[in-house]
Amino acid sequence: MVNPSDSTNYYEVLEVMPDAPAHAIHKAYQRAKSTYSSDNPALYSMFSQEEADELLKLIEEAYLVLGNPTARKTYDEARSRGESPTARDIIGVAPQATSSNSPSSHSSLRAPPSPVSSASTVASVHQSLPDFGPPATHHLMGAVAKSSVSSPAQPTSLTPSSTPPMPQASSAPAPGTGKTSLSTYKVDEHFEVEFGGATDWDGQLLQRVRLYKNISIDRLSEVTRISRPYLAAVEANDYKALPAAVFVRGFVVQLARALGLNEAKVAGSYMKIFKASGGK
Amino acid sequence: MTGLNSNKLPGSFPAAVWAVGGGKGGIGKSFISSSLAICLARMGKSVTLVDLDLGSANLHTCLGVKIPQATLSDFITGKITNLEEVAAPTEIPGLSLISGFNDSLDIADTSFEARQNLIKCVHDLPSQFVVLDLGAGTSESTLDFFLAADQKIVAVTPEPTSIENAYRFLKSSFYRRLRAAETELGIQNQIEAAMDPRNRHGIRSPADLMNYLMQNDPKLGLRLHSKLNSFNPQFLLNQVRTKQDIELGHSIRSVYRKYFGVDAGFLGYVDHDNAVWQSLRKRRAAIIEFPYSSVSGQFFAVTKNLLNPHSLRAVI
Repeated sequence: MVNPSDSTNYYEVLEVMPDAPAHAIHKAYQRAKSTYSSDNPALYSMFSQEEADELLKLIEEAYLVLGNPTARKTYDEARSRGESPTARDIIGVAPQATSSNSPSSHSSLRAPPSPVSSASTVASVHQSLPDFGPPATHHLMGAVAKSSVSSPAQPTSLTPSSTPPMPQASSAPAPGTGKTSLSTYKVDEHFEVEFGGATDWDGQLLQRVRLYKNISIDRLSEVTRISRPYLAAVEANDYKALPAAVFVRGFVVQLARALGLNEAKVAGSYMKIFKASGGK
Repeated sequence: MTGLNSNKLPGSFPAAVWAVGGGKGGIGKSFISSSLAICLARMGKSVTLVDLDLGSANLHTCLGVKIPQATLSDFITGKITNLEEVAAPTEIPGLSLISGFNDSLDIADTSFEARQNLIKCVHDLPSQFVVLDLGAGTSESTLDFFLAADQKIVAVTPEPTSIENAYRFLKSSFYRRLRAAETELGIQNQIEAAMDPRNRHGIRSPADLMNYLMQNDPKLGLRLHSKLNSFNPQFLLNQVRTKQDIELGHSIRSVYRKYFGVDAGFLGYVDHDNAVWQSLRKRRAAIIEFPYSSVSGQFFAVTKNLLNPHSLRAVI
């Protein structure tokens, strides 16, 4: 730990040693996220909400690199050559959230896209994982279920009046509609039969079930506390972008639980495919 | 203001000085300092506990010691010239107490010279360890005693008021240390120019300043960094009730690092426990009265962390 003020060093950002094992990085990330999210009393009188959001962005960026063994290796090699690469250099994506995420621009980003456009955006995001921002400040993945999203990083930025009515989970769903703990949706019996009997649970099927059950990736990320790039990578079967298997299994279990699926069956099947495809 | 060990005459006793501060009153500074001193004594060390909560000293009550004959005021007013003579033994083997009882508030505003002399004599006390119980607030004398200590322990409870005051206390101490470092390095002008609100460097915190210096004058930045890194306060979370409270200790440490740009430690936590006030009512130390309580165990763990900083797990 040479210089904690060095914001270009992702190890300093996450406050871990450069030789920290994967689980330590994961733990440090979770701890940092909870420190700089919401109204943690430890921030009081030291950092404003905006400054905390900036730090949070940096923390997400750091974890995107250090949480991924391949990216971390590339990063370490570049640093040993005396370079200071950013997540953008390593992962090769434009950190759009970083540039467009200034607090003043939040209001213009708040109008949520329709579920259809959101779905197509999610699909395109699979290619490039451009999300560095804290949840709910990202315009690409504007929440579908915005009315039920409460962002930990931006508790005051939500304007429920400007969001379209979202089918809320109610205690008694109307006939022909199904219900999860997060949403209600229109039952499609063919698809119910299809995924009810499915034995090969890959990311694509998980994504189809999620879209069918009308749950946004934002909401999912909020409930499962898995960051969106990872959720997107799980759905895109982008195994290289995912951390070690033990974490991926945890992600899939949580995902399946949130989607109201049999978690043991789904996780078992996903991990089989994950390992067969060279996942770590 | 550096740890005075370097100024010691050869052959003098190198007491390690631990100071317990924290800014706010009522967060358990006296309880913590007396408990740490007892732990050290129980580990077979010789310890002198000094009540520097001048004006409202009551460590003798925490320890159940009779109202002492000689106090710090006798030393400060020159009635007693040898600080060692003020120290009274306690019922705990190895632990003696320099009491501040009867000291008037004026003594809290001692002159700079008197303070420096006291600091020097404290370091020269014939014990292996000296534990200082500092008063609340950010008076110059409190800051100087804190900065001169080898271990700077910051007591904090999981309440916003305590956290706020702990930060204020640390900001005051840190800037005092920074000013001393500027003078030592002869860089007042550079720092002033960098901190000028009219410039566009956007320096809002010591971490920003350090970053700016590292980029523009790495040699100077490194020198300043190594000076300020030795400040290294150690947080001790008192009156912990829940698991989230413990996480707060890690958060405070992280916020400190990101704001000041230098390192700090998290020593551990002590539970909120009724045993503490039960024993205080009896005017007995909790660790003596309830040696098998969780609070006792936690203090021994904290003491071990202080004795052997390498045993503290890296960061996570």
